[in-house]
Amino acid sequence: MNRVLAVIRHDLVSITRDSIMVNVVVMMIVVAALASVLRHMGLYPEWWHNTQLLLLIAYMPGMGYLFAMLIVDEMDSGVNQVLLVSPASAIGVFWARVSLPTAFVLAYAFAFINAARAIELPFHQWLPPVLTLSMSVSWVTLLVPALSRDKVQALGLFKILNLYVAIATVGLFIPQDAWYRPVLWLTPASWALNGIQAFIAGEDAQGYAWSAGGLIFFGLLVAHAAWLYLRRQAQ
Amino acid sequence: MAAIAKDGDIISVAELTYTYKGQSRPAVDGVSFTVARGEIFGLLGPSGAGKSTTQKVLTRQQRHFGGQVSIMGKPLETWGSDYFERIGVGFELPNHYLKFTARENLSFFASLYARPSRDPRDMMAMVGLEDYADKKVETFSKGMRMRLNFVRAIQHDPELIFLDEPTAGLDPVNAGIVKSLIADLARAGKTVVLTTHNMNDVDQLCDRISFMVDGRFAALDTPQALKSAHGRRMVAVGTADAQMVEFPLDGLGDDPSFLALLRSGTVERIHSQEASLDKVFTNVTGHRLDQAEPVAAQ
Repeated sequence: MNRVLAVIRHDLVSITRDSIMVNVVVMMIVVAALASVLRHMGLYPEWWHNTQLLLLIAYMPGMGYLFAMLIVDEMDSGVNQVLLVSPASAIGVFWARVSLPTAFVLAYAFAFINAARAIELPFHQWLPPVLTLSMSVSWVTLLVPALSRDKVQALGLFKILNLYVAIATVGLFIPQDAWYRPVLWLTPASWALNGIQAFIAGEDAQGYAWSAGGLIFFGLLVAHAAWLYLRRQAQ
Repeated sequence: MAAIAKDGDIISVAELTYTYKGQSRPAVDGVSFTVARGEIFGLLGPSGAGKSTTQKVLTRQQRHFGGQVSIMGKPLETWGSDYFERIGVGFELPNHYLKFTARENLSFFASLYARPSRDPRDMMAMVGLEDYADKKVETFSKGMRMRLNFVRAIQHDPELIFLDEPTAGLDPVNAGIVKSLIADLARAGKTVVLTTHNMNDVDQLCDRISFMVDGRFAALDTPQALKSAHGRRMVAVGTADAQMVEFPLDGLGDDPSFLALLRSGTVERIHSQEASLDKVFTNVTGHRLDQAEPVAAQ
């Protein structure tokens, strides 16, 4: 446990040493704060709903990117080899790298939801779709270093993964009965979004069903990414 | 080449084989050897000979091997993460967290070990880095990073140390310091497995050396024995008129021509004709140290 905590502490310090990473975190907080202020000032009420959902979906892969880049940097510099011949187990480091950003985005999501109050839903209805969305963090954290050979590839891959998650927000701007809407179901983020929309519409059963489906869908993607990540580490 | 394990052996390897996925030819093919406690064992050979793979197996970076490997009296596959408490690994290329200071790098890795590590400042003082302890590693030269690599490998006081080119990128003074520290480690009962192309390091440090070629050991003996075996039992005498005359080493003291030459007062230099380790390397591996491709074995 101490080793996992040492890795977590080390990762946090690493993020504070990189100005780009600091900017990513600060911007997340600034944007959420700004949205909350506008909401409480009563400005642009027609945008509250979409802004809340857009921000919830869009920032999560970014947090995964931070941790993915820490791992890619370790691979690039060869430090991961040193970790592999230390008593810190690969699985322990793996959990540290997945649990810390996931915990952060969950805390951030609920702080933002409560601060902005742009969509009024009880906690137990927010939890399943937010959990689904939070899996994008682990997915990006694991898949980027599993498939990238260097930071340039990592950045390119992240943009693709981010797009795959963020494309779900298109669903906020197209008619509910559009014939092409099911195409968006190819991304699990869209399932979470449908869950939230169903809860807002008072259709609780549908809300839970969409969220559970999204959770399973994203769970499979994370499991696949974890397998690729551990295989890469073993190489 | 069979190896007979003895009680004092820290490493005992029998018929080790390792084949990378997708490869038909094994990278390590039936290698056997033992390394005794307190010994400095050199693992030499051209690139692609299987040295790194052997070292990766021994450091558990590659786990699915054939044959038997026993480390510190226990089969390698039965060790848990406690194995890493007892070994230290120094890598060929410097690998550090560049945005962290030297002290932070050492402290972070020390925090991963259950056994106490020595104070980072003391470790850095050993290799002349004490004044740079609080500087970020990104500002370090390659030589400084290599010295940091070395002390990181030994800071938790491991019993078995694997070092890959520990003096690469170091100036002669710092290379000398690192070599002297390696010799001190062996004197203190630590076992060192040294992988290098630097024959000078090998000559000064290693108790025994092995030459790997195509995944197998082509030779394994003491440096002195290998040099003698690949040299000639002759002495070459150089005189003031730039002539080199050779005499058989056996019976040299009774050789009238040699004695006459000595008395003539024209002798400027005398060289024994044992082989250098560079020559042994070339003879045994079919590669020259300054060439990547093999040359015809001499």
